[in-house]
Amino acid sequence: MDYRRVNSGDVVELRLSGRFTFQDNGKFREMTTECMDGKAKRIVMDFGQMEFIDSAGLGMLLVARSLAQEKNVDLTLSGAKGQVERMFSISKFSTLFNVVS
Amino acid sequence: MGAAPATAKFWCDGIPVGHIVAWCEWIARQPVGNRREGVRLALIDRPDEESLRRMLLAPVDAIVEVDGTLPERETRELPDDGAFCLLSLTTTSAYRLFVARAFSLGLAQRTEISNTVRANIETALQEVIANAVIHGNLGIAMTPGTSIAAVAELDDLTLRRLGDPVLAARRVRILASWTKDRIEIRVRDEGQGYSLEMARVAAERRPEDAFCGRGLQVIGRLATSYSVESGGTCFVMAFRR
Repeated sequence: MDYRRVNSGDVVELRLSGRFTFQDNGKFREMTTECMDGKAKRIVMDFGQMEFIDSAGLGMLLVARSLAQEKNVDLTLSGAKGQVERMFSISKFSTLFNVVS
Repeated sequence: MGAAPATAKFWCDGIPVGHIVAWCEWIARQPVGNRREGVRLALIDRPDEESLRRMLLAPVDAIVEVDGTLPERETRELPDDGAFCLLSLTTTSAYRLFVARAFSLGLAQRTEISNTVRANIETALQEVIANAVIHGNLGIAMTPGTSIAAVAELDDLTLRRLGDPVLAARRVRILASWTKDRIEIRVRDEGQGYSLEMARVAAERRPEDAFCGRGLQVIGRLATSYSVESGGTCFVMAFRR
């Protein structure tokens, strides 16, 4: 997985790309710690360029959700398509996250 | 047990001659069960994404990673007849490479399945490989909870166990076989095994927002059936073509 961070005031957009799988624990930890630094009020994770996610990737998003709740940050998942959208649907992510197309 | 495979094909870029001789002797020792046809066998040394993909698209039946020593009897579980594709990798390669993607593309080329079926196989296979590597060969138990500390702990433990040469050299074997309307995939690891029933119960009891335990739910939605064999060290799943 790769990501690019775009800051706009207190909103952080994370543009994710590639494959988000069980190999990405380290990168996910780095990304999450970096963007939940206390300044961001809203984080938008953009999955438009992400081609694949596995259940470990979904689990990591739930960790991000838990951390966001703890730090009172609004977390939105946006732009998922193809396999990623299907995985969100199988795991009923729309009941757990703010998911936008 | 039958004779040695009738066909052996090598891609030998940069491989010392001594290794090639050892490999030929090894191939001659490989059992082929009751197969009437020969086995087209390829050995691959320190695969990367590109070489793994290329090998899976090549006209071979079995691909075995060579990692210093040659594993014994890699071809012991081949189906008696019909088409198949076997990939045997070390834990390190199964962790490091996008194996589910490369394998599903190779399978699609052999079986002419639709991209929807291929994508379903890739997604389900990714879950089974992750399980074989993390919980099977590396022997890491489930990490419940939703904290960043749990992610860090899992990452550290995974990298530490991958640094153990014995665990890193354990095998993940993926064997696909198919008929005109069905594809079966078997993934075998060298871990302690597990009870599918207990995993199912744990998955049903987990909270909706748990970090782990979602893999079986995903496989259940994509495969037509799944089960485990050999004390939980071999996961078997089937797909409609």
